[in-house]
Amino acid sequence: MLPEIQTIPLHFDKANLKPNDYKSDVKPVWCPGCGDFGVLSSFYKAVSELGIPPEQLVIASGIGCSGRFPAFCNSYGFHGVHGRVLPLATGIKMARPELVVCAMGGDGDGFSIGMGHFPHAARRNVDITYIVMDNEIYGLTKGQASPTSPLGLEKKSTPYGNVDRPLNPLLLAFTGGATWIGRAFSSRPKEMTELIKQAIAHKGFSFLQVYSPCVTFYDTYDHFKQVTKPLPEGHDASDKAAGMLYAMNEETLFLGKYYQEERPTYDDAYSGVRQKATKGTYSFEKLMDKYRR
Amino acid sequence: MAQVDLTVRVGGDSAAGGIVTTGEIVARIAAYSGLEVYTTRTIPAEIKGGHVMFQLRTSEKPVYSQGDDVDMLIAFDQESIDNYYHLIKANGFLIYNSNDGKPPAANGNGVKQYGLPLNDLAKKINFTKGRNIVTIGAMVKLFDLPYDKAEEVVRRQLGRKKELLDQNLLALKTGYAYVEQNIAQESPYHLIPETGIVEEERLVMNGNQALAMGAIAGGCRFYAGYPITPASDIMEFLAAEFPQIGGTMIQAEDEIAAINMCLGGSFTGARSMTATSGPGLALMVEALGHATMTEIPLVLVDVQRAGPSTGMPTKVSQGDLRLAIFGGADDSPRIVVAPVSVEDCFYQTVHAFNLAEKYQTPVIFLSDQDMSVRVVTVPPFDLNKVKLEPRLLWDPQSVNHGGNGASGGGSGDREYLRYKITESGVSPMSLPGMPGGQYTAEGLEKAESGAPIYTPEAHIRNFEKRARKLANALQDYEAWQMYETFGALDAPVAIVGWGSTIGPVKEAVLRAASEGMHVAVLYPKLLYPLPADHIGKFIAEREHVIVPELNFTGQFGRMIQAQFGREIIPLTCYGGTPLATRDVYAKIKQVYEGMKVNV
Repeated sequence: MLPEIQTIPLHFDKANLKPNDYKSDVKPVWCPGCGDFGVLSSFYKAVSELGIPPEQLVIASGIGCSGRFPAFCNSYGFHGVHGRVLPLATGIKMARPELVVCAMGGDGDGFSIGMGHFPHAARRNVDITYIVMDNEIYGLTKGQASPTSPLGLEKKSTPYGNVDRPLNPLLLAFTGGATWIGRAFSSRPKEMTELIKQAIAHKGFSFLQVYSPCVTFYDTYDHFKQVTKPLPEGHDASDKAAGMLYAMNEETLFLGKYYQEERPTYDDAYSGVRQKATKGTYSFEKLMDKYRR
Repeated sequence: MAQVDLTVRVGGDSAAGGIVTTGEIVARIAAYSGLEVYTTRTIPAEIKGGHVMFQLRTSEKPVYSQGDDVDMLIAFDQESIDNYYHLIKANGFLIYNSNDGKPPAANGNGVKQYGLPLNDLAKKINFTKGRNIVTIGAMVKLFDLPYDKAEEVVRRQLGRKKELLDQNLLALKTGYAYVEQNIAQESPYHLIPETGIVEEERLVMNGNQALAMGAIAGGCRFYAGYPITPASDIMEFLAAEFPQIGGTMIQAEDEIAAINMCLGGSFTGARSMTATSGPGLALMVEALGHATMTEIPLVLVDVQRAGPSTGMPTKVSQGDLRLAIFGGADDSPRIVVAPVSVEDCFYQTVHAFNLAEKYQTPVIFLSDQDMSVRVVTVPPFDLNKVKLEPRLLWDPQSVNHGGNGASGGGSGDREYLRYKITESGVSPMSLPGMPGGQYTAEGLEKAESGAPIYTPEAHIRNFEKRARKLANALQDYEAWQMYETFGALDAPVAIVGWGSTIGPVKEAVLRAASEGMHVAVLYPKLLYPLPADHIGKFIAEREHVIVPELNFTGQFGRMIQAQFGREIIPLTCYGGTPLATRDVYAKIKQVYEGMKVNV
């Protein structure tokens, strides 16, 4: 006889949940005025409106200011090592597909040290929501250029101006094969809440880039207020090429849902593998028989 | 008639194909005929081309090492003759491809030479790729192995396509008939004793297969890994089995992703494992420390290969011990388990999972390349010996959390303390989905609730908690007998070793004992925490302690030296080959001779 796996049955009783029900007793440590506060409030609101029971929600994170996110939530959380939030979230989701899994990241965590995982989570279409709080700077290490910092930016690690061209997270999401792609700005909470809700509700890998300025090391509030605007109303989110064209625009930074498609999720695909693999009752004796002389 | 104990080496170029197949098939024919087998191989890291060696040792009694010298050399090419002819024992056999190699002049040691025109024979049956099967047919006749068993093995191993199978069976017959008609009507070597063999129930498998089966029996249901020689076939094994038993196998984008996926899987309650080799372990070290810090159970298999860096991917080493025990930022203790044999790979994997779950900590399982690919006969695994230690789970009934699970409510203390300080150091763990059990697995230093905190008191308390947990594993070491002792336990000389060197040590100790040089042997299978009491008592009264191991600096030996403040005699082997019985024997002899001089 094979040992049985321990499983905990989940109850999906959509209770009448309020944003406060998702708040933990750990007070956020972000600098006053940080864009991440806005993301946190919108997140509380989004998950409460979706009615996700806190014990069925898992928030994973890496390192950076964004990494502290799970501690402020009354859900299950996993504060991982630097850059590895996506594999962590993939492991959680694949081991327990019933759970709602969100991965919180920043531009350094996700597009520098953790960049290698982004296209893989996207191409697998792991059914998780990846929210990147992009402040275009390393905040927690006190102000070095990040992979989304603009050319010429003069900071401590780039005293003569940044010469590394910034990368385009949305285009990376497109080429990786993300099935839901959007962009928000932390100073537009209403739209952001709606986008977070849609991203979580989407079945598949959702990627939401949020401009979330760093008041201490790179205050970009005014800049983003000037250069962001909603995607044109007529934008067809099933039109990948159109979405990519909008994402390529570097003068106007469009906010909203760029793209969505339906594709089997990673756990769906793996269920298929299980069906294909399973032939009759499994027994350890039979497995040993293959090696018996 | 003396006991049959035959060592055969097969050598050739891998580009020609089939060297390892030849060895494996002959090994299986011997095993299926009721004999015990023990094999070893060295293969190039390249896919095609390069010299390959396969060695089979077979006997009616269990064998523990690959054998130092060979009774028979099967040389597919000149290079094999040049490299290995000197290893043939007096009165041994050389079988060579007379179309591709000239035997050396007879040197008076009685080696019998048989040339087989392999290329011609294969060409004659229009099957040029069938040279190795022709050779197998010849060996079956030379060793007087049952022909029906040979056919059965060829059917099982090569029977996927009917047409090819027919060709292979014809090749088998061709080799057999050639020997019968041209070399020896009567087989020159009888592997099966005239009295016959009392056939025991046996599995024919390698260490990675035993390990993967141990993982299945040990309750593992989540695996993420990245291909690396010589660990990849663990992943391949579980890729086939896991979907059938509700498990999950993910081929990750790199080793760092693999171990982080395992952390995620185990966080939800699934017994999780990854397997790699030295370079992969180096990449996983950060996440390993994270597993220690977040108290997430995890089994990390390191099938050690010769390094450093890329090193020799297909050669054996035990050079990762120090990395396994001490690698990481600050003191990040983890349990380190080392199996000693292919059979042991099964049972110690179960122990590794039990230790990981019981103490909510990562466990490194140190296998090695030689053990991983070596095909041997082992008794069937006994599932009655497998007892699963459950993870200590939090009981959701233990707190009043209200109806909807929103227990935190944004105010007041958390009721559930994930990192509660306990006497054993182990804190009950909640799993996602348990209402009221919400917490954050935290890599920062933390309060009992999991909330980040940097006070000296918390840091001290948690260091002590993590160390306390691991110390308890020493009780399991005793209770589960995670060690082997043998030899003359009152001898003045001891050998303390770890891992797969146990085989040659066993044989050398037997040989030395027959000459009056007695040795007591201890092989702990738990290397961290170090069973210092047991080892200390074992070596206390000895005049000399020899520590054999397959690495340059004698990593385990130095640990023993540091722990007990006494000299040891290192016996290091670092050429990428398994330990040789003769080297262990020579060391024992040297030690005994030194003792005589001192008297």
